[in-house]
Amino acid sequence: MKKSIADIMAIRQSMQSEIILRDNVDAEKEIHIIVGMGTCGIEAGAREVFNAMVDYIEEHDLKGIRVTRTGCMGDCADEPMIEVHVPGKEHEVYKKVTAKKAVEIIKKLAK
Amino acid sequence: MDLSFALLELAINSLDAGATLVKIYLKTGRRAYLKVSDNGKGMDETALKRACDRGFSQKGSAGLGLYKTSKAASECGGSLKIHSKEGKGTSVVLRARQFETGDLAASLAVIVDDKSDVVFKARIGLKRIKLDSRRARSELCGIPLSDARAKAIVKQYVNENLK
Repeated sequence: MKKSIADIMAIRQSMQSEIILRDNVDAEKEIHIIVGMGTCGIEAGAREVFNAMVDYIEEHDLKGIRVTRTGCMGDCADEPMIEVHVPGKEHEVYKKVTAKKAVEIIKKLAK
Repeated sequence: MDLSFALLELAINSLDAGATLVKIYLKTGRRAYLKVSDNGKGMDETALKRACDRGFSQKGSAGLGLYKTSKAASECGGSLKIHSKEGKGTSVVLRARQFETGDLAASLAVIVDDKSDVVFKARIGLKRIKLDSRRARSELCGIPLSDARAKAIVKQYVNENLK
């Protein structure tokens, strides 16, 4: 049977107001993770890294962490690379990230 | 070749070209047909001729994406053809005989965001799916599409419909 986005949303409606609230209040405190998604990154596994982080955030209902993509990060041999921006701190770059390492990074950030 | 990776490469090219709307159509049966069209900045004739050359890039990248994708398509009994008009947009058609669908949900989770719209239509064997980020945005009632939860819903929707 086909599920529409509306069907899936019905299961999750309870979280909506809370998410909107977080976006309005805590946007400045949000941790931003940027995944290099150039051809070299994709070949090295950037898509899997991206999805592992998204899945972990969703499964554990973590607040205030956003994952987005960017193009080639300029160091093809070290891909997949991710940049972690924590408000008020110097940003950090992680090289040769795997899905497993990415989840470890998220766990550390969520503490 | 893995169509989900080809889709990701081509759609990212569209988004990087400033597209506000990316349309993706995928049809697979005995052969695969993938079309990605956008309203991005397009290419002039010179760029179009060189688009699949190794190392050619208009965005400061390594220039490997279209080179590798077109090479993979021809190695898989198919082709990659590009139509483009400067200032209007680009459409890329990929055909292949040997292919696997791959993880479409994972690719779509990456490209669906708040800056641009993505319309994905597919016919995978007997299954059909349509994902329109404009509709998703209104149905998600304010959850940004860059939110991990929204991306998870998109993935779930794609996987449920293609199961």
